Amino acid sequence: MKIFNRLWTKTLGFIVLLAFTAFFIVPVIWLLLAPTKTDHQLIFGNPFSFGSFHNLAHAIRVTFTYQDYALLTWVKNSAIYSFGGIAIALVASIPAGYALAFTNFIGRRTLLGITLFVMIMPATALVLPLFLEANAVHAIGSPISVILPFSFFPFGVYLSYIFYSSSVPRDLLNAARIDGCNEWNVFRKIALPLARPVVALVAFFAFVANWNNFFLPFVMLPSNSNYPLPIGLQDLLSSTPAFNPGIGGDVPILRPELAVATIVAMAPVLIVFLFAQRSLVSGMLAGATKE
Amino acid sequence: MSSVEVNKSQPSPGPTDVVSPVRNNKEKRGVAGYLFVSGYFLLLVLFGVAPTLYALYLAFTSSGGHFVGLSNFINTGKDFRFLPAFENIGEYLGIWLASLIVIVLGLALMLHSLARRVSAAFRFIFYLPGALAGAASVLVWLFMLDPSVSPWKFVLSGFNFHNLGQTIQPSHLPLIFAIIAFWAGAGGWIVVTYGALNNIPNELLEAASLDGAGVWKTALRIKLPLIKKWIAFMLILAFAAGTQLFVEPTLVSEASLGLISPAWSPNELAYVFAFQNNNFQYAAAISVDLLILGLMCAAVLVFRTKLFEVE
Amino acid sequence: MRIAKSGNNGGRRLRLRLRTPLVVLAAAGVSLGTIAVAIPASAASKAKPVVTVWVDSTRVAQVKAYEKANPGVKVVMTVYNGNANGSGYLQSKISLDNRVGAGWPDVVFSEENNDAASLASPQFNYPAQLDNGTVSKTILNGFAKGTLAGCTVNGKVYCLRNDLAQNVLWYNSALMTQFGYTVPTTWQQWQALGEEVATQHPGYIVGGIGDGWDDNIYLWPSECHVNDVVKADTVDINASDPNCTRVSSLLDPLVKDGALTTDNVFTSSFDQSFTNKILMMPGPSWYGADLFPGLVAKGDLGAADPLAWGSAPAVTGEVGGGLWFMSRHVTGATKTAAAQVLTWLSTNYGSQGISPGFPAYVADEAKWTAGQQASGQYSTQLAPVFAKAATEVWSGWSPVPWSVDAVWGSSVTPSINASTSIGSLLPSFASQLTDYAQSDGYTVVTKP
Repeated sequence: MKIFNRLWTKTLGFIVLLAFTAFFIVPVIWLLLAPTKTDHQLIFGNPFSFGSFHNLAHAIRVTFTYQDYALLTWVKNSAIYSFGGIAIALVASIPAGYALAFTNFIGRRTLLGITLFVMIMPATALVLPLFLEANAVHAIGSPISVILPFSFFPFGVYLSYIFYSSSVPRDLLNAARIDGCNEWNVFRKIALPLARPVVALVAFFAFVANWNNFFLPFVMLPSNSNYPLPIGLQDLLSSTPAFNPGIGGDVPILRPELAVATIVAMAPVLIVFLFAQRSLVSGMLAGATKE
Repeated sequence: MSSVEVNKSQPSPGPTDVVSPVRNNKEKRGVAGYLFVSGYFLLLVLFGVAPTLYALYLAFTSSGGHFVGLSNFINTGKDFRFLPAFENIGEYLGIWLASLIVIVLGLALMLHSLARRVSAAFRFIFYLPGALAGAASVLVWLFMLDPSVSPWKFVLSGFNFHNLGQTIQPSHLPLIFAIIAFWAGAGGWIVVTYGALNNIPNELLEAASLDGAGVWKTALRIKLPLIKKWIAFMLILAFAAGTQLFVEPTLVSEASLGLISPAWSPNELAYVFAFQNNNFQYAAAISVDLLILGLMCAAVLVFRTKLFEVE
Repeated sequence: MRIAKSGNNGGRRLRLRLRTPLVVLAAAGVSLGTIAVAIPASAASKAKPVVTVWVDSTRVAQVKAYEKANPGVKVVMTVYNGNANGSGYLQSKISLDNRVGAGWPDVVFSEENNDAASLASPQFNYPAQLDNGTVSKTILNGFAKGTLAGCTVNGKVYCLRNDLAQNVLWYNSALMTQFGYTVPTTWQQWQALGEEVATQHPGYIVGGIGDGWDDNIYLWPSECHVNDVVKADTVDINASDPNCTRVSSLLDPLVKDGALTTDNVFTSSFDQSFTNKILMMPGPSWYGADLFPGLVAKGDLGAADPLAWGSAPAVTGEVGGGLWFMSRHVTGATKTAAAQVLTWLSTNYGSQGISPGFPAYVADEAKWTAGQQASGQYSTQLAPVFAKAATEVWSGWSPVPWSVDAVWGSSVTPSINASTSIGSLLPSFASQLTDYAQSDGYTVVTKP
């Protein structure tokens, strides 16, 4: 009976996983196949058909050469803003989360509360004040006006805090203190190496948030040469007749080209994800302490 | 654990002050704490607190800068789009939260029981849509929602939808937006929950299975309670994100060439006030409404799960 | 207590390797950013005025043509989304620029018809008035009659038209001949024909009603008052007027028969169902080049005069058409240069010749239409039809700060799709428009 139950549970589980796999992946498969077809084939053909390499080459060429290789500029800008933001975010967030979990200073709970408060505040209302702040220091139009706000990453602080407070035992750190380590060394030599999973997680989420952020660059960066991908994609969208019927002209951006741009925007996120996944290993703390 | 406490208060034998070594250590830790958070604190003040205070200031003043009490709130509340937007969000939130909690936790637990490589593959697949944000997914959803070209043709025709307009009828929108938001957002939360589950010491799980606990029991009685803080955090953010829905209605409106109201959700209405009417005060008032909703949920969860407490 | 040291060293080494590239990239990012800040603002030569121009991707060619023809002015061009699809891009940027008193574009192109009313409103106060001498009267009079109404707010002209989108009656001449029909000249004839088509040739259509801009195609030519600005900040909204109800009575039977499709003309399902099955379609002039290729065989597409209501003189509507604005914040030599840029872009054939839309400036019309005709797509002569229709756009459909199309598209169109009669939807259409108008500070009157 128990074996039957186990088999039944396993089969059900398998079916559920399969169903969700289909749900998540079917649109992505469609997207990957889209550049191989012509716009006409997208409408009249089978959604899962493979078009031709010729179409693919054409779509890639048109997308990349659009407006003097604007796509490459957007990717470059996005990379600068994202990585710049992550670096500072990591340096600020990981120690902060650690401190919130392990050092009982006055105002600890208040800080957690304020962080949560600010995270919940809708971004719509923050756009104007951020713009005014940047304008006050003449930073409008400079990458720093985007990179610095990007490095404020309260989500990362919480990830770090929750990780440290639920997964790393105090005894471990106390043992180090007893052995004579000062606070900095306790962090650097014990707590930080243990936090590899959460560093990877924070870096990854910070990257994605920065890479996909539309609002902040929209407000801070007025000129085309500074545009990151999300703004560039909006531009592309409004140059596609299917999304902007009056657009007219000899604009060659059709839906297959848009698909190419979308894939280019997706790819770096997935690459960073694969790197970050490697750090999500289990049992880092196995055998680290004995009650 | 009590033996640990005794150990903690033993004086350090190192070259420190003879007088009250315990108090000195605690002080040192306190100072160190301030130093560790200083970088983040600076960023928090510059890019979190200051703008939030300014937004609060906007919500209670007029465009001339005079204090007007609650009049911005009352005026936005009377706007003809206000109530429908909150009704929309209410419907949306129910579907969104339920699916997020149940499905994300369920899938994360399932993945946790699989071999590492297999579960990594699934995590990657579940995360794929998360890499498509905003403008990038407009194209995808134009095709997914149009029964004539969608890979989900058979599902949509089953509901008797034959063109895009029929799929995105107003009454279907809360469900459609929930599906899109879930599609794009679940993967990230599955990754976080999986990471949390991974940090449960193996010994505890081994002990449970030795005690005869089955898969369900281990999941419900052992795993979930141990990641209580993560779940609370996820719920708080999911609730806030749900009430602040913006991307999905905008996205479908672009895909359908304007068949969705530009103020379907309250956050969209705030955006309209801010940027179509140049009325940042009204936008701030609506934002504060949404903030209060999110804070209420956060307060409940913070206190019930003791999110701010550490042992 | 023991601390297991085994896993740590490996972990730390890996961690360092992960972080080093990030740190390097971050340093590169920060230093590049510093360099970008350090480079001084482009040193414009004292002799040449610098004009900043914002355009969408389609108008880039026109701006480049200007630069080539006018080396005496330096143009700094930024490409943006043209304020299309109600994105509010311009409003957002201008509102932020207003707060800090700097950053406005000197000349800007917009696809959004409502922008004249929206940007000229006190909240944005952006465009310069043009009919006070900034642009010469000769030029202003050179635009097709009535076309500057879309740029006129409270009696003042705030923009120039780039192109027009006057509605005409498109038809498939091959199919019309094949079925033995004559091209209708009135709406009543068109409806009768539609009913015949529904029974004799099911699957063929005489028009579309599934788009967010169909109010411009069907209500506007009927002189239905839903956004008639009668005096400053006062708008007449009356959808129970016979001018409006006669339209719903006209259209509802056709929707029921299937002769009028509820499919959005730019979606895939429309392409699948109606390629080579479009018998007729009232629509804007740009449908010719932007919608019909592929849907109507080359050489079969004809354009006829817009339909009239009985024996009344024909009026028509418009779906789109671009606008050129100049900022009110420019002064001195830059102002003169900006006015010149504005005028050249909207009137000079060097610019209008390569514009994909029908020129609003009369002098450019004939040449432009000849160019279109040469494509071989058309079975009739476009020039007389387009030119005449351009002058027949009814002036009672005024630019207003709220989007009438957004209301039609988000509430009327979905209901039509759900088989609700248009007649029953008109009252709620009017009441929503009233709400929007009042929310924007306008007084609503209901004139019989």
